[in-house]
Amino acid sequence: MNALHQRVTEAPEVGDLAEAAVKQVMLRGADEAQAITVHAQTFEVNFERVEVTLLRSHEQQTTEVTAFRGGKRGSSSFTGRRGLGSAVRAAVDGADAGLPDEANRVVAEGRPEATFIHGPTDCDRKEMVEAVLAYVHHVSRAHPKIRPDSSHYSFTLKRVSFANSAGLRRFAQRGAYHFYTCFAGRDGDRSASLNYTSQSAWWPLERLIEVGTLDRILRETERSFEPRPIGDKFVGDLLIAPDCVPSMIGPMVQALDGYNLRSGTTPYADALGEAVASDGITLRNRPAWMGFPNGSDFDADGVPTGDVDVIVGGRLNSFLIDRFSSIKLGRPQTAGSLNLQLEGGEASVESLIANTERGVLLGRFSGGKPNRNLDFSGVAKNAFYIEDGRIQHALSETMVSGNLGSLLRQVRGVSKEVINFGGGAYPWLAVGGATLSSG
Amino acid sequence: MIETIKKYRDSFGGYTELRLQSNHQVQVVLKEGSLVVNRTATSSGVSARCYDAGSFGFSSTPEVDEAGIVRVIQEASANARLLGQIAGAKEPPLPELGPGRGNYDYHTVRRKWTSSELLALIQEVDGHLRGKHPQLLSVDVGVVSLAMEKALVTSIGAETYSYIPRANLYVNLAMEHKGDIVEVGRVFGGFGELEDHFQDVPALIADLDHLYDLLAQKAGGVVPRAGVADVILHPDVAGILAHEAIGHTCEADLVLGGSIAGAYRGRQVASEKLTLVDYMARSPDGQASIAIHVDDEGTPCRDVTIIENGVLKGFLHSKETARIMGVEPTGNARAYRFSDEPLVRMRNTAIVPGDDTLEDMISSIDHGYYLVRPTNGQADATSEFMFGIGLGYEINNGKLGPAIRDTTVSGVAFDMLKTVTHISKDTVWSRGGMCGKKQPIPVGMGGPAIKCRISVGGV
Repeated sequence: MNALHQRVTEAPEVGDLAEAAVKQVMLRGADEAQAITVHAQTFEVNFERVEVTLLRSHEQQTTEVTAFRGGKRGSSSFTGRRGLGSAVRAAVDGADAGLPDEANRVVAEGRPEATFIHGPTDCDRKEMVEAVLAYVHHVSRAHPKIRPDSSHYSFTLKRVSFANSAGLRRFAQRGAYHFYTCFAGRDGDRSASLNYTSQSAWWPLERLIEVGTLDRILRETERSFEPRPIGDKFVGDLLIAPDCVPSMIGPMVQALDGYNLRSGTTPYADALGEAVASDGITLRNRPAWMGFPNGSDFDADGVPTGDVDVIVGGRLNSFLIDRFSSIKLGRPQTAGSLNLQLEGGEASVESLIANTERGVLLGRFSGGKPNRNLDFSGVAKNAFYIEDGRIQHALSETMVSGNLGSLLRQVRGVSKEVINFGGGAYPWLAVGGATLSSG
Repeated sequence: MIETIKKYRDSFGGYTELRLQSNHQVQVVLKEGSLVVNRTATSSGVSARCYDAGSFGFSSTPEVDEAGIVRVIQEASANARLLGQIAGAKEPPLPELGPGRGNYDYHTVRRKWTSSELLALIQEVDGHLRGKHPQLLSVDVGVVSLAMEKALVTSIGAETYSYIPRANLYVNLAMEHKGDIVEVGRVFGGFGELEDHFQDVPALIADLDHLYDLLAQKAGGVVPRAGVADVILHPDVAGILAHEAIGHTCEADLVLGGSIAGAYRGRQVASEKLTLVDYMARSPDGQASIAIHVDDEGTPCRDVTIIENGVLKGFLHSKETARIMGVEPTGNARAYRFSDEPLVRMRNTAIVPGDDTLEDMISSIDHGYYLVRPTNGQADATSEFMFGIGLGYEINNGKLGPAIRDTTVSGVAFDMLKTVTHISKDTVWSRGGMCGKKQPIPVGMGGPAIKCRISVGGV
């Protein structure tokens, strides 16, 4: 192997360690036990301004040990190979001190053993540095007012091993590349807002400027040095960019989780089968989909992940119930990891803009945590005012408020363009019913 | 810890930092009476960072033994050399402020609690709230403690050990009111370990009953009127303003990355009444929620006056940003885990107290708001900011009125700070506070209450 390649160590001890942890917990008198070891080797090229500033290679190995005794549960984690004995003691002590619960038990169902191998096992360090240098040179030439900050391009080889006392064994290996960049604009005494984007991929990202939405948002930042408030308060449309979609649908997705169902703090408690969004909305959770390098093959309890249709044609098809909540609620487990895919529609982004009478292109949203009713308010960031089907100017100090549930029932367009960020995939959404104001 | 790594100093080939670190965490969470998290965690390892003519190399491993330590030193050096070969940078040496030294050990002197004792505390809190206040729809109680233990030696002679603990108890309550779900939350504890904070359970119970009263007030509260209003920011809100809207824009890496603060240095950016400082250690009053004496590059920390009498004065620096901007480092380079490189971070950021009283400040407002508790906050390179407000009150005719429902406030900090007319005498430090920027990091923020004009969301 070329010396410039990421060092790859054979790591059979990853699986051995999880199994050894389970054995030791059982020897200390536990009724059941489980352990998960995550070993990750990363090579990372960091850049700021228009310079590569740091090469970082790091290795992480964390083992989480869980003991079950008398229906109670305790966990402890440690890094590296040492520390197993004290972690086992802490987990068993924690279980002894815990509270009994019917949900405190290991998974006994499913295939006893499963192995998942995805992606490459090594990277070419020199090529990665050169890709970043090419990108920063491009930015300095084509976008001289852009200042990258805290940005990096990395390769991580991650191995996850799970074992429990019921005989389940799981092993997953994922090698993937990840790019993240944050930047602001600076032109003399004027600054333009921070923006950022990211992408994960199984294979090297040869031309970083082509990553996801990057080229578009760089250009938008260059057009944002003279932002203006929106003027009078009005109810209008939002054209939500793919980078911004997770922050707008995230609180709704959280309202579908097992905890909120148990506590009665979700507005969707009785909404299964009901229309919760416009019929153009289809949302899936796809942790095991090969389109998502940042996905996962099994959850922290060793349960294999799979596709779940959460909303289909606007109707709520499934809650997102983790294993603990599924036992408490007496309902099937439907979630353990979250990697959302919002299906694309028929419209072009240009037509969504052209069909907006008055509203805001929302690049990012900076908001307070929505309340449990999903009422929200916050500031439109990286945003532009749209009137009569045309983008007019960049916005400053513009508040957006409304109810996220209501917005999703007023979707009037979904773009056919879908950006796969590597852990989630989202189109543009055009929604109505947002209250927009300045000052 | 320091002895484990000291002997490797002779093997350093050039500028090198060698750090041994353990983060010790306890996390126990009771949701709806179910114990959903009951865990301890120790994250330990060693890292090295080398600098060679403008290029940094970093390496880390969780294996703290001879082979692991030698390997990270060699690999960090190799990474710096590789970057130098490819990028061809030729920069001068890093500036130094003298090597940081000292032993800063804040272990509790109290007997450590067992898992059973800790869980008994949480159950007592949960049981009291459920028993006394059956109207509550949900009760979440959690304990999180984090102690960061670090030993650092550097090629220029820094040699330091620190053990910096912080412990918090979180309570979130929800109730239904006319079909709406209303919530309040509060963080207790602060600097130190769990045993330093929660010995007086009756006092804690009294605070929880008060929290329930606040929830009931909020349930019957009003929605604020949208628009620019006179407001008083409670120290908890003023603290997040100091951190998010001012502190971040004055981190030198962000200044180099385009922050508007770069253009405002030496200019009047706030009322003459306002001075804002990022404090080292535990701040002059000794009450801040973190303590940093020597940073993770080995620089002895010093206080940084960011704004003095309204004029923007200084920025927060690592050695690298100090080199680029031609100034001295300030001791603001901090790393979260052993596997993280130091980044420019705040320590304890606060507005300096003034001489006003809260009563006088309230009585000076005809119509406005007293904004008491933030839920979250974000700010931009332009200094435009947003904070969620989870608890507050109307002010009518100089008196506190009804509570308000959740809202959001926003503004442009370097404009808004010019509207500050009153600053209270007292300083209150946040109990918790984590900051996110590639890595998370515990931070302190606080200060007095301030009166200003701000944009309030609402109807």
